[in-house]
Amino acid sequence: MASFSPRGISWLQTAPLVVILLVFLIAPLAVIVMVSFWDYSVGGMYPDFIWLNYEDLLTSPTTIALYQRTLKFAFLVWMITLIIGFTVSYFLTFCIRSTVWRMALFLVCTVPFWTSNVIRMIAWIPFLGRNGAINQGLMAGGVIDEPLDFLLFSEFSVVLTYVHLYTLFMIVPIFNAMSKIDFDIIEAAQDAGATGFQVLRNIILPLTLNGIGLGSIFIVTLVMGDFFIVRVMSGSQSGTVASGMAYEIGGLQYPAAAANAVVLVAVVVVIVSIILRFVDVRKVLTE
Amino acid sequence: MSEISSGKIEIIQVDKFYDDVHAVRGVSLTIPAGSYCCLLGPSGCGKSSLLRMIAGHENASAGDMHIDGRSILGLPARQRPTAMMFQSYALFPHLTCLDNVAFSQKMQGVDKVTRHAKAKDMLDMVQMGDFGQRLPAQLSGGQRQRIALARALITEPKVLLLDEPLSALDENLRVLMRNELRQMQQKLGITFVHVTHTNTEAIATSDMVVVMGDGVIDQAGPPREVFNHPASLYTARFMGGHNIVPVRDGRLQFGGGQTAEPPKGDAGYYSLRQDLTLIEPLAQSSHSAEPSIEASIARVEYEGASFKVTLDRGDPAPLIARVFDRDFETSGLTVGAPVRLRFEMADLCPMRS
Repeated sequence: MASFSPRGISWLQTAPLVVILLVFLIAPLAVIVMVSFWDYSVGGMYPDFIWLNYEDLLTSPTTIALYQRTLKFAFLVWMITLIIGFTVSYFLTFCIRSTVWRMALFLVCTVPFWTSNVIRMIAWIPFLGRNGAINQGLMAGGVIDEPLDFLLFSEFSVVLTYVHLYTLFMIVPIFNAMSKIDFDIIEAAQDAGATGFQVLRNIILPLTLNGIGLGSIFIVTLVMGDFFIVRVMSGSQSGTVASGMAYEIGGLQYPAAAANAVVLVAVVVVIVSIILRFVDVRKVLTE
Repeated sequence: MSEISSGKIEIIQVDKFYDDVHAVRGVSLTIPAGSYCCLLGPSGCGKSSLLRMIAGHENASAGDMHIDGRSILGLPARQRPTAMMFQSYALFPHLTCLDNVAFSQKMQGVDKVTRHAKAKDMLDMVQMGDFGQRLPAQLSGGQRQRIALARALITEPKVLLLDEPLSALDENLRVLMRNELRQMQQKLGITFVHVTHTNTEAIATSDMVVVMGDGVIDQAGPPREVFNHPASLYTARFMGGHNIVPVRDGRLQFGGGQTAEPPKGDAGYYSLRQDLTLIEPLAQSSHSAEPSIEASIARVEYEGASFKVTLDRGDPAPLIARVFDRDFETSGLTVGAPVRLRFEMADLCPMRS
């Protein structure tokens, strides 16, 4: 057997991951960046180096509107999933004293994930529709006289569906971080005179921050990259940045879509970098 | 800390149930102000539950508790005049040592400069002044314990509760730290309640040893009294260092049919300190001594300063004698050698079973 230097062995050991990242991440990104500078017409696209795609994109009022809406969705979904995720994790960790029950209830949180995303999404439609369960129930109960229109095919239903589909991505990392908190530490804080809220603010929150950060990255990247949920749940009345891209791809305007993608990646990278300034994700994964 | 000797604890008929488990059974105990009290017993004897009830981390199922005459029952931990040092130290991992110590001040809303100054004083007091900016993860076990001590004492408690404070330390450090805890207690003049399962730790530190077993107090008293006059078989066995001599048919039983007249009283057992149980080779001994008990040496174990000599005596559990190592070398005692026991009848201490 040929002998390798320690350096050579290190290279060999990292080679599979390097190959995977090169083939499935770096190469496609490079192609997208390259194509984003190409020219196109109705007939096809032509290798070139022009800034026109970026100019079109960045000067279009549609782009601003799409980014505003996408960021609004991301922020709303982030806020709501954070509140739900933190509350559920807190309940599971500190209110359920039995380990068996805690794990059982945690598994219950994952039950919705036993069906596909599409089914879970579509399932909302008969529930929220004009003649859906909620409207009928409210009208039968005499709460409203006319069906509520904002329930379905609206930004409300889009955010609701995002929250439903993605909350678990917030619960898991926060629950993971919280369950590592030694209960003695909570008691020590109480012993030192901390009230319930002070314990939450000074002990639990800082010790859960890394989990919150990881969950936030999941939520932001998932929402920022979605075009399908927003299309179905808004009845094609609303759109995000990715919807814009999907539309351009549908029109065979690949270079425009590529420029759009590059800008979106840049925006997401900036947001994730901001999150990473507050948290140490590596610590969450290794501790 | 201003007034000398505060922190009198009265525990009145306290019970604690965990579901069906009766962990503490009608315990009553008065710990004098400014004393160092050790709760001693094996794991599961209820000593930690009792401590946690004083701290307010558990609620008593029945009974009452007073500190300096005021009932603390129902008060949350933060409102009690107690501070607790946890077995795991429970330092806040995300805070520096300085912020760990300053934590309770921060909770009270004391401004940063003032609380850091006070925390620095506390760190100096536990000789950790140079470690203020370290995180707990960067400290050794003994250093963490000092930080935990400083964090507990900054609240100026009337009572400091220590839950097995030395169990995570190695033997040498343990002896050093128990000494420091004792000195700290004497300097502050507050009450320390220290839970331990190590008898040497209890008698070395405390003014008062409370031996617990199965949820009840077996014996409470000054360490010399508890060690010298164990009131029960349980305490004698737990304190160690005692031979146990049973009484049957009104006679002390020494095995091999050898008996002796017991001292007055109707105790079922007597204890005799192992180091007061003297032996001499049968050949060299005179017959004048009473009682005259003979045995043979079953095992000899070197323990450093002394030899632990185990005597086979048949039926009851073996007797143990401790012989100063220099005496042992000149005595000619060997395994299998017949010996005669020597002890003072006054050293026999009556016990309940």
